[in-house]
Amino acid sequence: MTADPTDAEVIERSRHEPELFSLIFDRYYARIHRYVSSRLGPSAADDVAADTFLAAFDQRRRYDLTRPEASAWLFGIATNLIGRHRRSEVRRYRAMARMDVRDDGDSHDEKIAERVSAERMQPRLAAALADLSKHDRDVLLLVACGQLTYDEVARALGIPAGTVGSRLNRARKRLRTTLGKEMNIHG
Amino acid sequence: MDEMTMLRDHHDAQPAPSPATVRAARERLAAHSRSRRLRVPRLGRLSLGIGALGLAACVGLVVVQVINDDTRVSTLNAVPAGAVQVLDRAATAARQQDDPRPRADQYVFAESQSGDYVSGPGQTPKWQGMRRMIWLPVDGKREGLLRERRTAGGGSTTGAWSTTVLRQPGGGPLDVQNNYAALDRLSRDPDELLAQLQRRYPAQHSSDPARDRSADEQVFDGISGMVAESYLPPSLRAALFQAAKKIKGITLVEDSIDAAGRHGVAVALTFREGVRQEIIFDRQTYAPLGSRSVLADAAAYNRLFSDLKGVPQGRTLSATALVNTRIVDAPGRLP
Repeated sequence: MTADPTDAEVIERSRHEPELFSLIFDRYYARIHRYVSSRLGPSAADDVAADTFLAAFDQRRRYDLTRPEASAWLFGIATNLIGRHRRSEVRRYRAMARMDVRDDGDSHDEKIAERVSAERMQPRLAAALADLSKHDRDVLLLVACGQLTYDEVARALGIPAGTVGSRLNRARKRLRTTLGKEMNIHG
Repeated sequence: MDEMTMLRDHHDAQPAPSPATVRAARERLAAHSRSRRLRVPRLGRLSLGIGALGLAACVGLVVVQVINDDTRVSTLNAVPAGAVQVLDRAATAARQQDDPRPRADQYVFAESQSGDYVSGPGQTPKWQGMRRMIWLPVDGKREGLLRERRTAGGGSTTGAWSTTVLRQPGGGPLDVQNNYAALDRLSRDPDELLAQLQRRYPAQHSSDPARDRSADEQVFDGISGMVAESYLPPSLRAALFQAAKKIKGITLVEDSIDAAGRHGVAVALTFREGVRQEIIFDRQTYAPLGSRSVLADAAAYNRLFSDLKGVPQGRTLSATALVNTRIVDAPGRLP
């Protein structure tokens, strides 16, 4: 038997056998859903992750077949769709940041927060994410959550690889500064 | 714990989508791909009767030129009467053609050229050209065969022929909607045919209304697919052109060009998403030559999609050209 076809081979064939595109869905849906969920929350992720594959299907004829792996392409599409929910993404981080103050573990808000633990993020981290520029946040989260390489992030966002590095450094520095303050407060 | 690990942990803590969510998303994609399969202007888009026409134009042609100069858009006829006239003439021309009835056990062979403008975030846009030979069963109930060779833009894969048996994943004939037997059952009455087409290519709705496809857009897309490469009885071709006249918003493009470099006159519809789809006809015989899609409104497109950022308005995004069609007895057999 031959090895599994690469993403590029599947996408190429899906151009004339559209139902084959479901293979790309099967390979990547969970990963894309988790990435979107970490940025927009689980319920928005249901829609955005599904839309990512519809958009990818529509764009499949323009996929560069010399790229065997489709992850950068798909994460790029997902990130673009997330961009339309930028306000709600930032709102969500700010909400998570506010959970900080009530750490007696007994408040109503805290109980809600426990029930939806996936929503939780270290509050200072959430506050720092909310303050990042969209560009810096995209790069940071594609690397940290999407687990893309610099080169893949560059392709996903359509920016030079050097820019990926500088945006990531800037974002990490800002996060560390904010987190460092917290250490001081609690430490 | 550093900030990258914290982010990653938060990511990993996300609940996996429920099986019902996954199933719903998968079904949405399947429905979407079924309804849009004809956006792929290749498989099942064979047209009989225009065979010899234009064959000479592409013999020996290897590299499909990128057709990016669309200055002729300015000649877009504002008077739809022009488009209606072209469709009338194309219908008349179709009615005058022979109607060889293939046997159910035969295959339609078609040789075509196609090209796609490949682009996306972070990649250098390029034109990927393809030569294709396809054999599709007349009855749609058997496997088909596809041979293709990339002629441009495919990197190391350029130049070699590849052969694909056209069948469902897991076996069985590929469900090609445009097989002869199915097409032959369509009405020859333009109004009735239009209603059938609206059922065949229903309007598309998505969670983002800006991405919706109207019934007119879907039907035009369907017709352009059927005409450009389908195996169509001449009487049906005539009826399709009469039905196309009823689509609101069609325009005339006085000078279009197919994937083989042949110029012709085109009937076009610009979709809300900013892409203009064209059905190209020979200027003398009014036989369909192929199809083309053009980035007509870059701003509208870029609001919806991200893969054509920086691509100039007027750029040809894809093109097809049918160069030879025949009825043959077996897949893989050349006429």
